[in-house]
Amino acid sequence: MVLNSAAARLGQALRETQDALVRDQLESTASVINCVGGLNGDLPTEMSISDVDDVVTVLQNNSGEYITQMIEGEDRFGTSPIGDSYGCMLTTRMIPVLNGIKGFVRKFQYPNVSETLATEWGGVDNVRFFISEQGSVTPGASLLGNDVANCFVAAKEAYKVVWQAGGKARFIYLPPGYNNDPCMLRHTAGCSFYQGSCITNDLWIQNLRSTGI
Amino acid sequence: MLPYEMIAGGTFVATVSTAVEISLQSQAPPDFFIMRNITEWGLVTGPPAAQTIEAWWERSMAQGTARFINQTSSATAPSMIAQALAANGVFTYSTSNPPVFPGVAATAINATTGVVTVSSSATFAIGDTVRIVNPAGMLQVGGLAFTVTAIPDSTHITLGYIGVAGAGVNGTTASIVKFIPSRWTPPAKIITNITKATQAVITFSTAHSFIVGEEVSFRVPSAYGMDEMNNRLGIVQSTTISSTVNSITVDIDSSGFTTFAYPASGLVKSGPSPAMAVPAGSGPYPGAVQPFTPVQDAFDNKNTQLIYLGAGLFGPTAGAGTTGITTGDVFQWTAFKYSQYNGN
Repeated sequence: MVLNSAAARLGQALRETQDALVRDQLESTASVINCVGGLNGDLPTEMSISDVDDVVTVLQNNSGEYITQMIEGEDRFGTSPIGDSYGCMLTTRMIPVLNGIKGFVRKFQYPNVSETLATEWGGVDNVRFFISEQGSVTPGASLLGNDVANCFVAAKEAYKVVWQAGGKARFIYLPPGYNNDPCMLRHTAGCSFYQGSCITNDLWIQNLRSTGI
Repeated sequence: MLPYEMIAGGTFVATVSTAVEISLQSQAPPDFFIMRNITEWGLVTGPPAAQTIEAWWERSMAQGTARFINQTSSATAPSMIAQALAANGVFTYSTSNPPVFPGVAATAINATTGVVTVSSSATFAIGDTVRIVNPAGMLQVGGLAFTVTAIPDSTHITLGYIGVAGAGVNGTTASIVKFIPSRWTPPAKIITNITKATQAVITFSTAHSFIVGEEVSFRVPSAYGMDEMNNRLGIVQSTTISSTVNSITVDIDSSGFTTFAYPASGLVKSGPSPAMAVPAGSGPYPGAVQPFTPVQDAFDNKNTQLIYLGAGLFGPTAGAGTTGITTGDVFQWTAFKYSQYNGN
């Protein structure tokens, strides 16, 4: 029972590490667009609807394909249709900023939520937003020294992860008696994986930087 | 002692006033670190002045501090004097989750030379990456990162790769914030100049890692003039990195392009995104008789657990609270991990 519990926690740590590696890569290599439509007087400003439109325009100009298809309007109170969309991955610290964007549609306002993810917060115009507490933030990186959220807006197949056969995820358990444990006092459990990451088309991934977090 | 308590060790050759980085294969941060000066230890015929022979750090101590021992200059009966280093000593961190440093006040930024007048240059080292925060009169470089290329004295640092980012007008007050950049390679870089030439030369604000044969794509908003470069792909023909030059030459004829220039400080709040070069793949190696594509520019995670030995450990003059070594001294070092720690 204890080992099963440890394996579950290790599994979570493994997947979060995989996410963090991709996050770090995109943070280092993606093109940057500063949000400028906000009102906080910094550079970048907090994200606004005009900034979302700007990044959609850039990706459309670069022939970036949408990732998700339109969610058509339905005859339900308080819902709003969602257009074909790019995906934006960002920090949970951006939630207040997202909620303040003009026209932002929360996930619970979608006409149909059957094809959404637990991490999805909502969408506006042609971008749907997926949040994580591990989302990228650069400390003190704005003009005025405030924290900057790196919001990665991706078109289809903008980047990829390469797995090596046999190395995608490995659970390693050693019973007592290993690793200089002559009195057989210690179990160890760990996990390992191999992962390669790359951007497949640098025009299809944009780092939309925002303050206000 | 269990053998895995001593997690790493080795030697390095020190240079006066120059920091040393030790990359640990073990991804666990060390709990105790000690280094000893093999060259000067007990040397009876040698050192003309007092020398630092040992320094150490333990996990209960603040990052950047150290304790050390100076050996007096007496050749026959040297004394050993215990000292404490308050800053710029031993740091341990992962480059993927680095510490955050406080800003240092600046009062002047030279737009041409990149020399910045700061309240103290003690916490900076050549090669450090710093961010300029809210530079009055020079907002176009606000939030951008630069490499420290020289430290002329105790109140000045030089950002030698400033290029034309200064836009011809000196800055006044600002805050200079040191930070540890991620080591994912190859990273995107901020452009500080692009020449008009049959093969354009692109200068970056921080030391770049592009290689010959690598394919680079450019993002140059119209606020920077030369927007003909925007979204263009170029293959790196040559690279230069020195204390004053940090550039690549690409196979793009920019002769007829608009002149590259940074926007004036007053225009910055209208919001240009930075001019950048991003890695875009590998092209054929220029001039190769048998065509080939370089592979060293592949995406690679070079983040690591570091022991960073600040320049304060390798000072020029040993004294009260200061270290003193001679360039060329060989140091032995050992890093430990406690099996059990009973701390405060």
